[in-house]
Amino acid sequence: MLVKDIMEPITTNWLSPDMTLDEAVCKMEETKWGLYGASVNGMVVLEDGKKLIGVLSIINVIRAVIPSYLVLDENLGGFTWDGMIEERTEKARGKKVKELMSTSVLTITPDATLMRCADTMIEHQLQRIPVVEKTGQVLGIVHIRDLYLAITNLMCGV
Amino acid sequence: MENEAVVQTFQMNAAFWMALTIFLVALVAIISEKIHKTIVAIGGASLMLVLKILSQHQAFHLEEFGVDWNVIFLLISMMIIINLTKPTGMFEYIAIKSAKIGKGDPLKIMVIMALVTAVLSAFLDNVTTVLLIAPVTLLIADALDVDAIPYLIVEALASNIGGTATLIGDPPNIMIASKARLDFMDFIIHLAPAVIFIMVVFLFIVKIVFRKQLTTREELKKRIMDMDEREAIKNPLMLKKSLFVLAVVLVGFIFHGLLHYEPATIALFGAALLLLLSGTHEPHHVLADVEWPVIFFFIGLFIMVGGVVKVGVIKMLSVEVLKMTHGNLFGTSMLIMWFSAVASAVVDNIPYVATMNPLIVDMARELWPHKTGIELLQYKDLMPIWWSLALGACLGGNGTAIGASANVIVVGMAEKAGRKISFLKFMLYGTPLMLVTVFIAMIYVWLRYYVLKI
Repeated sequence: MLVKDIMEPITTNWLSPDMTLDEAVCKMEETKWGLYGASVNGMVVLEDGKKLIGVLSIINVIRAVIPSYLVLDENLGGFTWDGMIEERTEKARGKKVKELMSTSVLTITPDATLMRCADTMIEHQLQRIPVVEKTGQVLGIVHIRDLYLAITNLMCGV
Repeated sequence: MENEAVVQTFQMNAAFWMALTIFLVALVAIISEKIHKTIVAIGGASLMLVLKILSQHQAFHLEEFGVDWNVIFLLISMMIIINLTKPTGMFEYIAIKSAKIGKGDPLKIMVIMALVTAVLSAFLDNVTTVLLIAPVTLLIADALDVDAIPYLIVEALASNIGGTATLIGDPPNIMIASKARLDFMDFIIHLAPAVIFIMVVFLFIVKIVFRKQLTTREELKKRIMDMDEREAIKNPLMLKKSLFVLAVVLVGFIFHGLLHYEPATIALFGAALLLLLSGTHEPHHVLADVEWPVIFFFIGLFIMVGGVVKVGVIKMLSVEVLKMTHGNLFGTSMLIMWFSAVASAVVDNIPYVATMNPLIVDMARELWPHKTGIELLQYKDLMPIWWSLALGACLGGNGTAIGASANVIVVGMAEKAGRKISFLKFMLYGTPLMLVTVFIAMIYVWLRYYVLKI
């Protein structure tokens, strides 16, 4: 099997860099993945709907809520309060996707083998990988669950 | 013979212009920030060697022209001690405790934090202090739902003031101490009183300026009071060891003049002792965390300045300064203080002081040609000039957001927290404060050394 056989095609499931975080989060929440009907936990960020400039994942979202001082100073972990996550979420709401997304994004071509895809994702601990044509056109995205599903299909003969 | 003499003058001239060009180009490159200042300094230093303006021996082994290893090892050793102390959580403990002493009142907390920052800065370098204090400050401001920016700016200003008080507080003082062979107690006796006056006025100003701006709700104060500062302590045993070594080093600094040890010897001993006590088998991380770019910046600068000293640029400048003040010592010391303040507000005060140090020595040679060595360096009429340089260079750092490294760090931290401190916003607080503090310093120097003569 090849990457293009299992990837989710990019249709409306992408974010624009100028979206606010709450818009992006709600869009991800509304976008369901594959057969399970679960929400996706990451989306590509496209400039003008074409050029891949980053990926926003739930990790980026949670990181946006954690204040910088807790990251900068590990000795401050003991000083948090109930209600803090509510306050910080409210503050993070208006941030732009382009400020929060991961920008160093590995990609894979649609004609790459699934083994190549599996190896890349595990080696770089990726939860998802955008599928990009050599011309730069973004075709789809492979979530790690798509890959896992390919293996379960082989093992369990669904 | 005649020909040889002509050739020699020509070579001297060529070296003179080359050294001056390297120095000025490097200075412009450092100010422009297009190339990292450390790379510029090392580049300039290596050119001084490659073009044979300085010999390698002069650069590496002669105090007059080359690297001041006393400064280098003092810096490295203090960094090692701090790198080992930081993870214990001691500084976070102090900061949270301070906020609780302020009973969660935003204005009281600001005053106490400014005081704590100033005291810590007197004994640690300013950048380290601000790096330790700023995250806790952001946390406290968040808990109280007040704007963190005034706190961060006040702390940067306080750290530059506090750092002025001691030999180890700020790099200019370390360099001046080494050049003039002054000891820790000299700084405590001559600069600490000035800093105490300045601090009192500063805290008073802070209170007036921020009185109306900082308010919070009662239930938010409870958040501060509910914090347990002991939770910051990650390694109580290592904390005790660190406190022990810090005490040893402090006592060592107090007595180093009497015992005829250089400050770097004391600091190196402290670093070795704490490394040993920490029981680490892998000193790699602690040593890797030394701010090597800063250290190499110093090394490069010393050699570059050595080059311009050797060719006589500095001597020429010192003659010019004396012409300007007609040899009047009070005038010279005021000129140096205000010029240092303005210069340090715009350029890094480290290269500035590295250049001024030899200039002052050359000036002293002009003024008192019959004196040499320590008798010249610490001649009683020269001392107020050293203090003026220290006060001007350290306090001048408050003038702009780029005037001191602590300011740069604070601006960076604020940006990471999603808040921008614009250049003008910093100046709005920094410049008037710089003028007030240098004015106080001026009165202090005038009264103490030229009126009361004590």
